[in-house]
Amino acid sequence: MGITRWWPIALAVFIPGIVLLYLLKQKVREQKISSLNLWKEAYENIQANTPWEKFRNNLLMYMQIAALIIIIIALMSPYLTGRDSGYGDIIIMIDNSGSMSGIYSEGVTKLDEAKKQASDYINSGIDARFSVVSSNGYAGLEISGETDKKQVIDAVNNISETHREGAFDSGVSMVQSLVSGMKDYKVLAFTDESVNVQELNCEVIDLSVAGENGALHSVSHSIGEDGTVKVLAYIANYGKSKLITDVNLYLGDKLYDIQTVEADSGKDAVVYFKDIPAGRYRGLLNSDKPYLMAEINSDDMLMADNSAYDILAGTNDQKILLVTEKNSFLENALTLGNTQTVLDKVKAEDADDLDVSKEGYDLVVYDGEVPDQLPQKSNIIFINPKLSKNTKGWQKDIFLYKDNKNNVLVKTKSSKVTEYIEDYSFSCIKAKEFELPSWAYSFFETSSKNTTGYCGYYGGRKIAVIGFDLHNTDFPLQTEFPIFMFNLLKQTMTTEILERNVYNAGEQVIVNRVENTKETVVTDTTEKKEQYAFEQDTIVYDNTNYSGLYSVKEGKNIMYFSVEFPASESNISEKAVVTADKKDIQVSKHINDKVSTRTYIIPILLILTGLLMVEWRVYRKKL
Amino acid sequence: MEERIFDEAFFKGLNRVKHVSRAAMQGGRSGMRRSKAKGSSVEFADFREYVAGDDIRRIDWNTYGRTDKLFVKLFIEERETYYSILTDASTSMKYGIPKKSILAARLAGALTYMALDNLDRVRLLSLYGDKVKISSDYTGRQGFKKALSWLENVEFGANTDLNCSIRRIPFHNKGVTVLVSDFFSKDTTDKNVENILEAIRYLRYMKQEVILLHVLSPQEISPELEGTMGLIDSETEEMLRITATSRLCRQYKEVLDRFCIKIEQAAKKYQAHYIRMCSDETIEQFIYSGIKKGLLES
Repeated sequence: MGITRWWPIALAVFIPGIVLLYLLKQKVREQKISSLNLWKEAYENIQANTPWEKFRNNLLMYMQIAALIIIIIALMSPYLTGRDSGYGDIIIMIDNSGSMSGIYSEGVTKLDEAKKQASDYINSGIDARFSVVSSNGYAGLEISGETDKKQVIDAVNNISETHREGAFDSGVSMVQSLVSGMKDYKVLAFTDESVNVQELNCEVIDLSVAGENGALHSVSHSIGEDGTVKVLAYIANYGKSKLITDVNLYLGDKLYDIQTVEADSGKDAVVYFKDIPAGRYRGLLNSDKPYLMAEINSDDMLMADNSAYDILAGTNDQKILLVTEKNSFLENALTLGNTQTVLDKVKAEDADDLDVSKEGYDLVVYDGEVPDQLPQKSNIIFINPKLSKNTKGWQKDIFLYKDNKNNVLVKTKSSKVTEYIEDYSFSCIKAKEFELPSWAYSFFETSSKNTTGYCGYYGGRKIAVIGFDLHNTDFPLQTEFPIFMFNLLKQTMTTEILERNVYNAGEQVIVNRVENTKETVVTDTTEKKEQYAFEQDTIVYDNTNYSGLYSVKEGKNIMYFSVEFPASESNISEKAVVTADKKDIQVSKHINDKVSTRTYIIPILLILTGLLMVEWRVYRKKL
Repeated sequence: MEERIFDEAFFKGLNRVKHVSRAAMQGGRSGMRRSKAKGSSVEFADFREYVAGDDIRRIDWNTYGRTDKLFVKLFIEERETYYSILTDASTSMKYGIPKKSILAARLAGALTYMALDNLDRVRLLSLYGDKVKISSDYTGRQGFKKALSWLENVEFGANTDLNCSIRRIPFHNKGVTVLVSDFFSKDTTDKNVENILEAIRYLRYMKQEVILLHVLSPQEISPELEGTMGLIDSETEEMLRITATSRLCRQYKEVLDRFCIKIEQAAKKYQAHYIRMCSDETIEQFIYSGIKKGLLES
């Protein structure tokens, strides 16, 4: 409900005037009569029958006051109900990305305000079909074409806060497909960010609020030559005025130090925590909470971006065994850029004598060889394995060998192994083609679209297979080769629960099974635990909508990972700028519905006319 | 008085009627009324056997010739009726256009005329407050002039309590008592009717044939009021603030009708006559109503 203009309420001063006129008019005219007794009795009888007789005596006055009030209401142009009733479909699009977690007014987030305005709008007597879309980089259709307002409001209220990064574009795309074929629709978009609404008949409700916001985007550490540790926290000031705040550093969950930092409006600042003793660091590394946390020590408009984590990981030496006749390409590539890698080389005929499991190699690379028995734990890379068409034993599950092709063009296929070298190809004199096992993904394929290189998690270890001899290609001579090897080692060396310990909000987390555990337990930022049973060697955890610290526990192993608040969502000083392909879109702070308000003056005036007719009839009857 | 009470119209038709009195006169002087007393009138009543001491002039010799027995003729003795005509002289009687007091005087005058014309005796009384003003007894045509003169000089303007005033009137013989009033009083309707009933009962106890002439004004019968008004009681000066609606006026008429019916029923209960008159009605209309109700005969 709303009022277009308030000045007509001043006309209410005439109400006492009407009352006064009636009081003056009602000056008693005296008349002598022979006796009052009969009149008294008649009057008492009437009053006994109608207790509101007094009211009836002044009925005209009350009707005139009512008429004046109706005139005032009509002039105020109230828009009580039926806003946008001309639309058959109304699509409510609510941004629930990270910035919407910011404060709109005291105790109310922008998302809360969006929900409130949307709910009020739905409840304001509109007769239409409603659809609700949430958008946070990913668009979610919460409800579609619903006329039950309770369900629509429930759908609006069920949109939860996230710390995801995302503009409205995905939501706009979904709404565009939703409204295709609709003629009379209207989109109400609640957001605090810039959006291109393309050709939608859209009204944008801008929920951006200017204010103070400092963001702590990252925290990292380095170890000095003397073993002391230096921690660096990166802070950005998105507020209007200069930011002066304390920054706390926690080692695990214990406060270690507080530094003061200053940053001008729109500028960044770095705060250092130096000389953390080596012993303290080692103690933290071996504790059950091996992470650093930095936090801005003052409240602002967006609290979710005020802290960041640095998960500490061990830096143990990694042992690789290369079983090959001679391959200098591989020797160089396996030690690439990692001084802590220990590479042992052994020839194929000597490999059988070596107890690989006992030596504790993290990775064994078989170049042109296939062992009789697989090592118990180590990850394995097979390069150009010697295979017959009828594979036996363990080889059946790993090598689904199809054929040997000559003079083929090998292309990279988009995967983690071919990161940064997508769309690359090279010639190969001879290559083996495989059927892709269910546990693996392909990273090389021949021109006939058959797999010739794949990687995956099988039997509690990482296994990668390359179906050609590196000497039969010019690939090792290209700049892409070291990148490929770096990626391949990164994917095959890791056998930890998580491949990374920093994720973006909303990103999927791949949880690996280690030591054949049957289940894993993920604890989120609110200490809520979720248990997952392993049906395969990995599970996907995607409930990473909130920034903060998470942990994954498998058996006795526990690993932390942090979800970061996206830096782009911290910039609250930016006003929502709305663009459209063909027309101007009006941006307002509240739903604009003035167009339909005039319609409701007519019913009000009809009521007034009816009232005046009744009044005239009553007046005539009195005469 | 502003208006002539006894004008030409008043005298028209008075000769045509006379009052039919049910009261069989006893005592009093000889007159034109049949009395229970058997006397020297010319009107035959009955025969009885002669006994010693009877006036031998009344022996019916024809009967003796047929029966050989002496019978004496009995005649009804005609005696005069004593009329007491009471006029309510309260303030409320001055109300109305025309005033109720005028019709009251005319009715009293008309009845006086009829009585005197019938050789009856009449006394006029005005009930003024708790006092009673009583005229001398009037007889004959000369008496009529005096009576009219007395009626013209009746003063209206007091709060009259009918019951109380009537009890102050001395009644010595049977007679006819006529009460001309609007029967309004300061009491509530029910109490007022009770008082009227008491008054009729008292008069009946005093062996009076009672005639109630209820006089109302046109404004009382069909009030034409409008808007918010202060109605002032002419006797008590009390004011009632009302908003006169058609509904209230309808309700008033219903109350008035009930009031009149109650008086009529009270009259009927004690065998009294009741005639309701409007102050704009003429004597002819009264005579017509009287004949219709068997009170008068032409």
